Amino acid sequence: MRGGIPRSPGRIFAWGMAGLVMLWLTAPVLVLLPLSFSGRRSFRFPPDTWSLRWYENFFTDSTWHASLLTSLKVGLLSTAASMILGTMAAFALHKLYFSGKAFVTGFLLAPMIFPGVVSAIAIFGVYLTWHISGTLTGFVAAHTVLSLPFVIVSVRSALRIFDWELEKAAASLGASPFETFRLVTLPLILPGVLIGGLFAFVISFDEVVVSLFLQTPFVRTLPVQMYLSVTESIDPTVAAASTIIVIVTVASILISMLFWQKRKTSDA
Amino acid sequence: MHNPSQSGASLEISDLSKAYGSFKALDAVSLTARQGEFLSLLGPSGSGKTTTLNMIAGFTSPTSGEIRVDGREISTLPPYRRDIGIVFQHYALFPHLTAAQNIAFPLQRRGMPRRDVAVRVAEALEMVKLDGYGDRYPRQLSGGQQQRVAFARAVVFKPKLLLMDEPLGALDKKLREDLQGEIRRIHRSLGITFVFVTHDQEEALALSDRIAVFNHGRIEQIGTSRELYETPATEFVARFIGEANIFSGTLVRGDAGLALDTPVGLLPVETRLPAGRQASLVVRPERLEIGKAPHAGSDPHVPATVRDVVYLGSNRRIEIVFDDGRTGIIRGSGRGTDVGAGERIDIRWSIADGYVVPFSSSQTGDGHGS
Amino acid sequence: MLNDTRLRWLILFVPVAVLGVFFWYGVADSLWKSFASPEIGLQNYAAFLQSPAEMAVLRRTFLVSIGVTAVCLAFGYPYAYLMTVTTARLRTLLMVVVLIPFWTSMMVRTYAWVALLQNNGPLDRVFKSLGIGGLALIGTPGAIMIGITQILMPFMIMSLYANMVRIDRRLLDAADSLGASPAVAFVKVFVPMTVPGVVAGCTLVFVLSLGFYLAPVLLGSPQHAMLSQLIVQQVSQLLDFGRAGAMAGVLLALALSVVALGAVLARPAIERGYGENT
Ligand SMILES: Nc1ncnc2c1ncn2[C@@H]1O[C@H](COP(=O)(O)OP(=O)(O)O)[C@@H](O)[C@H]1O
Ligand SMILES: [Mg+2]
Repeated sequence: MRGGIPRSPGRIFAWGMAGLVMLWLTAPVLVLLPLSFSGRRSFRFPPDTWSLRWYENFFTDSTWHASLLTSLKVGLLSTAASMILGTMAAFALHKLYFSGKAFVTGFLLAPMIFPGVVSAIAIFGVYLTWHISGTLTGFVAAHTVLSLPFVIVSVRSALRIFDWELEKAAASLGASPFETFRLVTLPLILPGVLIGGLFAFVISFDEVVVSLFLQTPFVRTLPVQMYLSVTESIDPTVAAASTIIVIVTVASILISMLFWQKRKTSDA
Repeated sequence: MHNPSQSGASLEISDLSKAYGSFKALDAVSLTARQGEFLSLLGPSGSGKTTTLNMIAGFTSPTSGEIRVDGREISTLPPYRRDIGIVFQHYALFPHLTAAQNIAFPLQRRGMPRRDVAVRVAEALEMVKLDGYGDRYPRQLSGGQQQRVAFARAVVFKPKLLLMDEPLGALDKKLREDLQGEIRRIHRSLGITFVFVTHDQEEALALSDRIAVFNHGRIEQIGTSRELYETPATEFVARFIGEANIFSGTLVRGDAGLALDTPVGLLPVETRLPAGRQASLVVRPERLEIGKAPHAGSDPHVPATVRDVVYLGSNRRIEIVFDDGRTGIIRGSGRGTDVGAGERIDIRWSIADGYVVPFSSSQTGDGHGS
Repeated sequence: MLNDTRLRWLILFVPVAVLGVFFWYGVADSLWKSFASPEIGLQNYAAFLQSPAEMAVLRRTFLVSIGVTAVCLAFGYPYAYLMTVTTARLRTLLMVVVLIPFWTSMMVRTYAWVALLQNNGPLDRVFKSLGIGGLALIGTPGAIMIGITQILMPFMIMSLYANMVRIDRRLLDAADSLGASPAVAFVKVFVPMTVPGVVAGCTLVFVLSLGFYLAPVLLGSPQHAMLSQLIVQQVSQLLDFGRAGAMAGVLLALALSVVALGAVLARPAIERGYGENT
């Protein structure tokens, strides 16, 4: 029954299904790459002529590259905010014991399972009356609350394997609680905080539904710009933008992994 | 480099209690450690040693009672203001810092200039014989080396009191013995007051000036190794320290004076306890003599059967079974011990070598002997 | 002082307050409006539940979500199973194929389906060349399901895998040695032990697909709208927060009851000792 080589009919069937899944999951994204180099204003696949004009358009048309800039700004700011807030929440939840802790935990984590549209109208309704809809503040606030639960989950799992005896040791050596956190606890839970941050960035960089409500022609994130483009016209710049998004996402994952590797080897 | 009388603090604990709900982890414990003394807290697992240490360190707040260091009540000070060195059972070295950075940590917290820190760290590494290992991370060090770093880190800031919670518990026997020697050496050279927690009586006997024996959140006895061995206050102490042959019964006044009425016979004793009391007689294995025929004199004696003989080089350890089924131990050398398994013998001792302790019903813990 | 309990409460308070103000206040506000806008009463819920067109949308949303969940389970189960039994190298391949789309923008993936499924697009032409013309998928619930399934498949596979890796394979060998055929051992021993993973994966996928917006808008059509589109329409075109709040309230209630149902369903299996899993 072992090994990867299909022998039984059941195994052959399973590999057949898995092959379909692999195609299903990867093929669509691979299709976009050639589309972005198309020479024509069409989604014709495969393209019959090739060019870089959609990339050129992306970087010269301000609606496109401004939205990339907004996305990066919102992504970085909301990632920073949710990393700080998420670490605080996870740390306090780990250290405090009280009845109703399950409720508070649910309060902090529930946005994770909220249907996107429900979050969107909830956020839009009040941000509108506060006049922060359509502002950078509004985007950062919305993306922060949407990614916060993921950071909390990630930091909590790091805290679960943290050796609390180390905090006692630091205190016995004269470190105040704040110094203990800065010099001992934080460096050791940093992997969890960073993974949470990576989640937060990717979530923010990917978010469409809430951003669609908050957007204005002046403050608009890249996925929103793509959405509007797809619904309004045939513009292969979307394919170029997709390729750029994939590159940014893969790059942020690779950078975190390299950072990881470096930390590991510098420790060793 | 130090004047021992100045670098150690005195520790006084009075009526210290800790309750977790209705469970008393520590029940009105009082003890003192003199300046520069090596005091061990010895007891079975769960007897309250760590709880005591945690309260001295400030990690746990007492339910009641007082802790004074050099006469000053410290219960209200947070742990990081107590200036007490601690060596943790699993070392608690900071895994993201090198050995040298670990040792520098307490000095930096005290705002010591960088250059002085480097000098002190080098000295400390030398003291624990780890010169040249400063750049290693904890996981690149062996258990024994980690233990040494933890020790250096706990004393480098010259605390007046050092607490150690089973610091050698995770090491193998050979390494333990080496480190025991070093701990003694460093204790003498620094003059710091040491409070050392262990559940290993041999370790406590080898290291300590005095030992406090813990059982069920109480102290059974405090004394030197010799006092505990020769004049145990309770049957628990007698069993826990060294090996013992123990006979329990009721004190009766016979023709020739006091005797203990036990299942194996009437055993003459010397004690201040009054007749009628329940009591236990403790006789150490090396005090027993072996006779081939029943003793005719007035010394206490008991018949027994040899179960096993273990040769330990210069002496041998003989396990015996009394007629009531309880077991005992003889240690000795020479002709008298030349017996074989299954042989019927008569064991005897001088009346002064028996020590009577009051009977107590709570006898738990990993006691040794009979 | 971080050790000070009061300070810990403060540290907890800040994120709770931020989430309270910037998220929960809005949720409470939209639910409140569903009962109070334009006037106090249940008219928003009544209007929703009494409109045949809107109930059809609700039914469609429900059915599409069930369909997505079923397809994810049917394809994800063998995939996750293979991940637990195959060689380390193939497992890495299977894992990477699941994780890469997981990290790739949802907008990008949905847009890719737009390009693939469009009339006269690549898939359409493949079908036409095979002689099965007129199978334009775009604009149908089928296209919506294809899009959502692709995005949610990784969630199903990871939930199943997290459960399956913990199963002690020796139990299967034991069943083998007791004379059960591999197929019988698989069905009688292995499958029951994966119930917690199946429940967790199905709950997650179902709840997430209930609220999908992008795929229905870009791959579906107004005639085949899903509830999320209806809600967005109420807000962005009619600015009717009361009606939108009522629909959101129903959607949320549906999602939460599915989560609760999942928890109840998974419990007996967990109590039998098959382990709590993600
Ligand atoms: N936080 C706590 N809550 C409840 N009981 C505890 C706690 N800490 C220790 N105890 C109990 O107190 C007793 C003494 O523990 P401890 O001081 O750790 O023993 P020792 O160090 O001698 O092995 C044990 O029975 C232990 O279970
Ligand atoms: Mg202990």
